[in-house]
Amino acid sequence: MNNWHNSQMPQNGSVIQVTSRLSVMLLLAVLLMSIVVERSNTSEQLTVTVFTDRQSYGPSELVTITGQVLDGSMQGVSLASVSIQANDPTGNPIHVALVISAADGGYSDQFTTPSGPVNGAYSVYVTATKPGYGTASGQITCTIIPEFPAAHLPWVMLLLALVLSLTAGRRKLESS
Amino acid sequence: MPADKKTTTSNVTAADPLSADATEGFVLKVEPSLHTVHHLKNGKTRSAPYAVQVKALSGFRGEVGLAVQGAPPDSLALFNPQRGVPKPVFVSVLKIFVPSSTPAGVYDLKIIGASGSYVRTATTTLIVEGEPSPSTTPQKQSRLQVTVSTDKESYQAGEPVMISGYVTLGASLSVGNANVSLTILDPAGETIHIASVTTDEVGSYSENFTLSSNAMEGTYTVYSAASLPGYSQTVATVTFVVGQSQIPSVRIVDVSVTLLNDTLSSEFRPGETVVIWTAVNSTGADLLNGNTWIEVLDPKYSPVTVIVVVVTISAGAQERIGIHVILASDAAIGTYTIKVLVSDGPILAGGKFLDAKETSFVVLSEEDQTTTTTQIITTSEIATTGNSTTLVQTTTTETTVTETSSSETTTIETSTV
Repeated sequence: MNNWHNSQMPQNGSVIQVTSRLSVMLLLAVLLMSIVVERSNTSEQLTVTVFTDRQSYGPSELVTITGQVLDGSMQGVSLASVSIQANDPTGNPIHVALVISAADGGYSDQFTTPSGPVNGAYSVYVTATKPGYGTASGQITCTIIPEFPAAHLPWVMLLLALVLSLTAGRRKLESS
Repeated sequence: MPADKKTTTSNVTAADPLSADATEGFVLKVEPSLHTVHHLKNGKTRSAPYAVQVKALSGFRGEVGLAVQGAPPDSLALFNPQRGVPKPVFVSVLKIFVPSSTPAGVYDLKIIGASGSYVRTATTTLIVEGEPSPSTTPQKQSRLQVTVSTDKESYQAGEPVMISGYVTLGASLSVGNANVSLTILDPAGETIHIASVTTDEVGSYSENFTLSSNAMEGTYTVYSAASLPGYSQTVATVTFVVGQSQIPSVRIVDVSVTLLNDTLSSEFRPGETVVIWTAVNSTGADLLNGNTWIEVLDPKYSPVTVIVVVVTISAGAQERIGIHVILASDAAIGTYTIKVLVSDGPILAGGKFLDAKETSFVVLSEEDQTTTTTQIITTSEIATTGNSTTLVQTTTTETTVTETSSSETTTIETSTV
């Protein structure tokens, strides 16, 4: 049986640039990072940790995902299969990988953020499995901030000056 | 535009003693026997295509992996597809991308096909002419890669198991003398066999062991870790089933790239449509609502698209999946990576990947006016002689290279009885 599917590669769109102008200041203040680790209750089950090397990234920057697969005694587990899925803020997968843990249970994966990313929090989900062990899952969230175009800086400064002058004018009227 | 057209036809004959003496397994053939590439003054990358044909002998149906030795060190070599099962013939297009920095010279290419204990080679030649210049699209083949496979997908207790694979730099450059550590775990996670082997001169390795007569039924996992001084270790896995298994044992058996007209191609231009095909087998148990993920990464390893296809694969069946990816008009120039993975569900819902494979294609700029197309035509006819009836299958491979100044067509015709 054959199955057909179509996909259009995303192009750098101006919509993303507009979004970035409006929300870049807010995003700079709200950088999310959380680690969720499911731990086992028995010695046969795995534990998996997951980290990203930074809390936030810009466009076209390298993201390094690292972590460790541990047994019930918190010893590293080698040859565990670690499945990785990274989703954008809308829930669409942007990257997947299958890596195998090293002798100390450590694993890593890398990808480069898109040049025109969707603004917001990106989630990385991992599942660690090995025959004879229970499955473990983990999750981490990081933020990808679209590049703020330097060409737009004068407009933002002008807008800021306008807001400040209006505020000052209102205060002057209120005081008089 | 095309100025002349040359057609050559030849029967399948081995181009190397390893193939010529073969009476079982498979034979390799590569066409043409010589390719000449002239450096352009604009510093653009050129490409040299070869049609590599794998023909099965004596009912052989093993998976054959392909690699190459002797390519210019700064070139990029891509097989499309990288591996396949001859039924009884499959054809892969090898394309050598020659950057403008490649020194002029004669490069003897050794094409290697490996499957279990069968290793076959065929030779051809690449001639690079003209003055080298700094490359505008540097190619990298620095990542160590390893493949691993078993001679069958399911066994019975007490049966011998053959594990084999090969080590490459990048997708296709074979690496000899690499260390490969093999570990086999039974369904309970117990190690039942370990071995340390070294790749031979053509980059392949193999290992045999025999399942115990009371081997546990279920899905077994083979881990193959390759290491080479100066490179990061890399690990590949494969699973096989002993007796009956309650969980699926999934194998991605084919990943290939074509144009919209089903012609194999690993060279595209911005705005063109890339068609990615994959074939997935399942043994052991049905893979219900399995997820097939196809990710395309640009030359900076930035994901440009991830497509998920939900398909149920019945035990013993093969599912073939095709997707279209339309390259953006401003698509980056360079080597793209295609990753195909199969999982038993979304990872965010606790699913896990069961197998993964990679291949590559290259996007060149519109200014590079070299196009290569390969068409594979298989025809069958029944021949009757006296009281016997014979099925004759003919596979014709036509590779057309069109450049600004010339056009060359190579046809390989084979007859299989």
